[in-house]
Amino acid sequence: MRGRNLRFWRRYALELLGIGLGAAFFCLVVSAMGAKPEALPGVLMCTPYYLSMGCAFGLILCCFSIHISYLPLILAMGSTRREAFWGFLLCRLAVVAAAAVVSLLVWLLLPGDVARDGLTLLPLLALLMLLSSHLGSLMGLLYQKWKGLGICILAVLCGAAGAGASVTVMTSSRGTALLSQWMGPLGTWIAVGTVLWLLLGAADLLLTRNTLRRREVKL
Amino acid sequence: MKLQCTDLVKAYGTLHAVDHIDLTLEQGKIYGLIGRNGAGKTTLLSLLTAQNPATAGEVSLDGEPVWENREALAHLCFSRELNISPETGLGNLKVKEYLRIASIYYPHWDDAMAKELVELFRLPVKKKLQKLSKGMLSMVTIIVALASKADFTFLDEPVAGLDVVARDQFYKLLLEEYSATGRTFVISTHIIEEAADVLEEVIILRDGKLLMTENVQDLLDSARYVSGKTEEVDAAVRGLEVHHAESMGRSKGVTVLLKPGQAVEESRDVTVQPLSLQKIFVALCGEEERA
Repeated sequence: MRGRNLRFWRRYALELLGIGLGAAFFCLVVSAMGAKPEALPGVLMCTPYYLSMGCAFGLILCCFSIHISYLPLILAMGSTRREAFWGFLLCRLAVVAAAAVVSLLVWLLLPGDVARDGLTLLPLLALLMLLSSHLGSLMGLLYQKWKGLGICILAVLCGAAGAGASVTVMTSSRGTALLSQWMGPLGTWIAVGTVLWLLLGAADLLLTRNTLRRREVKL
Repeated sequence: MKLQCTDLVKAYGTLHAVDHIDLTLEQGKIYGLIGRNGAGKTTLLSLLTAQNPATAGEVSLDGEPVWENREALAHLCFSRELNISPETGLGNLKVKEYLRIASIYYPHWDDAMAKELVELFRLPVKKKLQKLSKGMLSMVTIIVALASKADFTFLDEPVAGLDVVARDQFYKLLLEEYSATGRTFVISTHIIEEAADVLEEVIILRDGKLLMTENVQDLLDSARYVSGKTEEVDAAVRGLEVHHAESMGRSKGVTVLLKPGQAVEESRDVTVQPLSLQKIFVALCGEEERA
C-alpha cells in the first residue's frame, strides 16, 4: 500500500504544481502583453513570484478540497489513516520544494537585480506557500465542522490571494522593488513568517491527525 | 481466510447503530446483508472494512486486526453507495478519475475488467460523477467492486436505481466472478427477492443487533406459514418458534421457524406453506408494527 499511496500523492502533487505553473504562465502572458521588447527579460524574471502566488493559491484550494473529497475517498479505497496523513503532508512539502527549486533555477539562470532580490526573498516565498497550505487545510477542517463559516473564511482568503496576485501582475517588474520597499527589513518578516508557520502548521497537523483518526467515511 | 468481528459496537451518544455484534465471514461465499432502514447495515460494513472507527470490539482478518493494517486492508473492498452532494465535493470528479484512483489503491485491480464493464454498462467515463443518474452511480460502484478483485468485497445497495436489465446483468456478473475466483461478496440490499437466488448465506440485522446468520436454503427449508382457524393454528404451532402472528377475525396466520426434526402437522383446517426470503424477513423484522 505504501507504494500505491505514494503514487496517488505524487500524481496529486504534480497536478497541484501544474496549477501553479499554469497560473504563472497566465500571469506572464498578461504581463508580457503590454511590455516593450527590452522589458521582457524583466518580466520573465518575475516568473518565480507568479509561480509562488499560483502555488499558494492552488495550495489553499487543493488542501481545502483534499479534506472534503480526497481523504474520505482514499480511506474508502483502503488507505490507512497514517498513510493518508503523511501522504497529504509530503504532497504539500513536495509542491513547495519544487516551486522553490524552479524559482531558484530561474533566478540563477537569469541574473540581475530582480534575481538578486528574489533570491533573498525566496525563503519568504517558501514560507508563504507553506502557510497557504496550512491555511487551506485548516479551512477544510473548519468546513467539515461548520460548513458556512469555513466557506466565508475561504472566500476572504481567496479574495486576498487574488488581489495580491493582481497587484503583482500590475506592478510587473517593478514588483520586486515595491515589495522590498514595503516590506522593510527582511529578517523580521522571515521571523514573523516562521513563527506563524510553526503555529499554523502545528495546529493544522495536530487537528488533521486527530480528525483523521476518528473520521467516518462518507462519500 | 476469515474476516471476523467480536463484540463490535458503534455508538452515537445513546444510540447503538451496531450493538455487540459477533460475526464470521468465510471465504468463498456470497452473503446477503439485510435489515430495515437504519438497522445498521452500512455502519456494520464500514466497521468491517475499517472505514469507521468502532466504539468497542475488534475486526480481524485471519486473527490480525484490520484497523490501520495495510496488509489486511489490501484484501478488502467496500464499494460504497455514492451519494453525490455538494458537501462531499466528490461530484466534480470524472468517472475515469474515480476509476483511476481506485486502480491506484486496490492492489489486485483488473484494468481490463474495468474497461470491459465500462463498455458493457455504457458508462460515460468523461462525465463528472455529479452528472450521473442514480443508476449510473450504482454502475460505478459495481465496476469498482468487481474490478478490485479483493478477497472480501462489500457492496452497499449495488442495484439501487438500476433498471431490470442492468440488475440482471449485475447478478450474472457477480455469479461469473464468484464462480471464477471464489471471492467473498457481502451484498447489502433491500431488493431481497431478486438477490435471494444468488445468496448463499443471509445476515439479518435489526436495530443494530445481529438477528440471524443462516444458510439461505436452510432458512427457506425451516420457515413455514401456517394459517387457518385460530384454535387449529395455535394447536399446530404449539412448541414451535413462532414469528409474526396475524389475526383476521377467527382466522390466524403465523410464521414459524422449524428446528431440525420439527414439523407442522397439516390438517383439514390448517394450511402450511413455504415462504420466500422476503416474507421471512418481513416476519422477522416487521413484527413490532403488526403486533
